[in-house]
Amino acid sequence: MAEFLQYLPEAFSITNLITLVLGVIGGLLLGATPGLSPTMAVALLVPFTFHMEAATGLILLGAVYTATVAGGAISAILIKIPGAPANIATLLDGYPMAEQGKAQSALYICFISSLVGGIFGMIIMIMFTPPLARIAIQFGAPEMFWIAIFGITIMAGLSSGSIAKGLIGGMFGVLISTIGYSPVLGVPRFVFHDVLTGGVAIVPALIGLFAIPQVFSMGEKLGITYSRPKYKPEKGVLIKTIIANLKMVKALGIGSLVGTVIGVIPGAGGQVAGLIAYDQVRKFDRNPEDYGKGKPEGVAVSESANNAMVGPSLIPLLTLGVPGSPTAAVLLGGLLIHGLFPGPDLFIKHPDVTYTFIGSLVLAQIAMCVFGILLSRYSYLVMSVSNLYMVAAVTVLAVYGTYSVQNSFDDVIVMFGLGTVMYIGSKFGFSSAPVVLGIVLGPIAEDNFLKGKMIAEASVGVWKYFFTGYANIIIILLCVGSIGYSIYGEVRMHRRGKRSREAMS
Amino acid sequence: MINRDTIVALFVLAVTVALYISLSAFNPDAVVFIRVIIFAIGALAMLLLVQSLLLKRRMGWRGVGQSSAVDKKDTDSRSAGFAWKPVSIIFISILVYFYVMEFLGFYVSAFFYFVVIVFILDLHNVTIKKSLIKIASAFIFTLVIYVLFNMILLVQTPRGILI
Repeated sequence: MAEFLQYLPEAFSITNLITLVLGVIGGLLLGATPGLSPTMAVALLVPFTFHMEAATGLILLGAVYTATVAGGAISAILIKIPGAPANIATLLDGYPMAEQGKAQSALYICFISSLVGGIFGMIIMIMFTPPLARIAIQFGAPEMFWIAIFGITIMAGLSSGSIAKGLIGGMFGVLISTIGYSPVLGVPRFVFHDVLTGGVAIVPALIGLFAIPQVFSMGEKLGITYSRPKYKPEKGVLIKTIIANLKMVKALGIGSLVGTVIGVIPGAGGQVAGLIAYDQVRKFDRNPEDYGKGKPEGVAVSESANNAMVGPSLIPLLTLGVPGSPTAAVLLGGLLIHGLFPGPDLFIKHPDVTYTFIGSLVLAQIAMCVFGILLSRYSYLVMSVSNLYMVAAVTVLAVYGTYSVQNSFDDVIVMFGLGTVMYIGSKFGFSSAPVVLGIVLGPIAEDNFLKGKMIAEASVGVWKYFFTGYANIIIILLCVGSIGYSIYGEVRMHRRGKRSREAMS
Repeated sequence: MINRDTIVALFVLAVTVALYISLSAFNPDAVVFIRVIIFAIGALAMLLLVQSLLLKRRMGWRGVGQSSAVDKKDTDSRSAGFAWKPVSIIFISILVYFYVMEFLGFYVSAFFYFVVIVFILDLHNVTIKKSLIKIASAFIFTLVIYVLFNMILLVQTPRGILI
C-alpha cells in the first residue's frame, strides 16, 4: 500500500490525466457502439501506445478497458444489445426500464453502480496483488511452464462452446508463436515465406484475430436495424437516482463481492460475474418475481459486479503473467511492446509504471462514472452509427495499427491472413481468445520448457523436475480442474439444450 | 449426414500429420517443443472425433455451430449462417485496398476504400443525398486520421506517390 501511495501522484500528471479522460470518453463511446467489443477496442488502441511513455500508454489502455465494460451497458439498456458480454445481465432489467420511460434512471444507476463495484474491486486488487507477486517470484522454469499451460486451459474452456476446440485453438496459437527463429538454437522454423521471417508479432496477431473476424461479421449484419425505446433526458433525475441507488446496499454489496471473487478466477469474465450476482440478489429478494420486469436493483447488481471484476481480473496478469480475460491478454500485448514482462518481478523492476497504472485504474473508475453520466444523454447518437461505416473504419484502423508498430507491410499481410483464417474458424466453433492466449503464452511455455528440460537432464530427470514439488502439483491440478470444470459446463449446457429441445417438441 | 465436428476433427488431424512430416526439414533440437504441441493437437483432434462420432450421437448433442430446427429458419436465407456475398465483397475490397495502398499511399487509399466499401455494400440504397453523406463521411474520417496520425502522433504510414 505504501508503494501504491508513493507512485499515485504520477497518475495525476497533466499528460496522464488528459490521456485518462480521452481513454474513458473513447471507451464509453466504443463500448456503447454495438459490434465493437471491448477486447477489439483495446486491441486497436495498443499500437497508439507504442509512441507514448509506458505508463501513459498503459493508462490509456486501462481507461479504455474500464470504460468499455460500463459503456456496453448503454446499448444493453437502450437497444437490448449488450455492448460487451459483461453487460448481458444488465439488459434483463435495464431494457424493461427503458421501455417504461426510465432509460435515464437506468443509465445513471448503471454508472453509479459501476463506480461502487469498480472501486471495491480496485481496493481488493491493490491489497492482494503485491503479496501474491512476492509468492510467485519463487517460481522456477517448470512452474512457469505449467502456469503458461494453465493460462491456455482456462481461456480454452470458457471462451468456446467446446473444450476440445478451445484447447486446439490454444495449441495452434502456441504453434503460431513458434514461427521464426528458435530461441535456443537460432535456426528458422516454419518460415515458408519471407513474410514470416521475423515470426508473428503479438500486435498484428491481436488485431488480426479480434478485428478482422469482427469486420466480416459486421458485414454479415448490415441489414439489421435496431428498434429503440423513446429516450428523452429530464432534469432532476440524477440526484433522485443517486439517493435511490445508494440505498440499494444489498444489490451493490452482492454485486461488488461476487464480481471481485469471479474476477480473480482467471478466465471467468464479466458475463459470469454479472449473471451470478444477478441470480444471487434475486434469490435474496423478497419479491424475486419483479426481476426481469425493470427492477433498478437488477441493473445495480449486474453493473457493480461486472465493474468489480475489472481490477481483480488483472491480478493473474500482473502477478503470474497469465491474462485472466481476453482483454487482459490484449493488455499483456500493451505491456510487452513497452518491454515490460508481466509476472512476479514486474513490481520490483518497474514499480513506477506498475503502481501508476494501478492508481490510474482507480481514477478511471471515477472518470467513467462522471463522463458516463454526462455523455449518457447523447448516447443514442452513438448507436445511430451504421455497421456499414464501422466495417470501413475498423479495417483502416486495423491496417494502421498493425503497420505502425514495426513499419512493416508484412505484418499487415500476416494480420489479415490470421484474421481471415480465424473468421473461417469461427464458423466451425473456434474463438479468437484461446488462439491469442496461445500466441502470447507460447514463448513463455517454450522458453521455460526448454530451460527446465536442460536443467532436468543434467540433474533429476525430466519427469521428476516437471511433475514433483508442491507448486508444480498444485498448478497441474489447477490445469486438470480447469479442463474438468469446462467439460462439466459443456455437458451441462448440452443437457440443458437437449431438455429444452425435447420440451419444445 | 456427417457431423460438422467430425469434419473439423479430420481436418485438424490432417493438418497435424502434415505439420509433423514437415518437422523433418528442421533441426531436431529446435523442434522438441513443437513436437510436443503437435502431439497434443493430434490427441485433442482424436478426442473431438470420438466426441462427435460417439458421445454426441448417444446424448443427442449437436455440434457447435450446427443448425437446429429453430436457427435453420434464420440461416436459410443466409446460406447456413454465412452471408457469403458481403463477406466476399469485403475480402476482395481489402485485398485491392492493400494493393492500391503501396501505389497511392495510406490516406488516399483509405479514402477510396471507405467510399467503395460503403457504396458497394449498400448498393440498393443509393440516392444523391445518401451518396453525398457517404463521401463526406469518408472524407471526414480520412481527414481525422490524417491529422491524428500524421500531424499529432507523427507516425509513419505506408507511402505511395500520394500520401
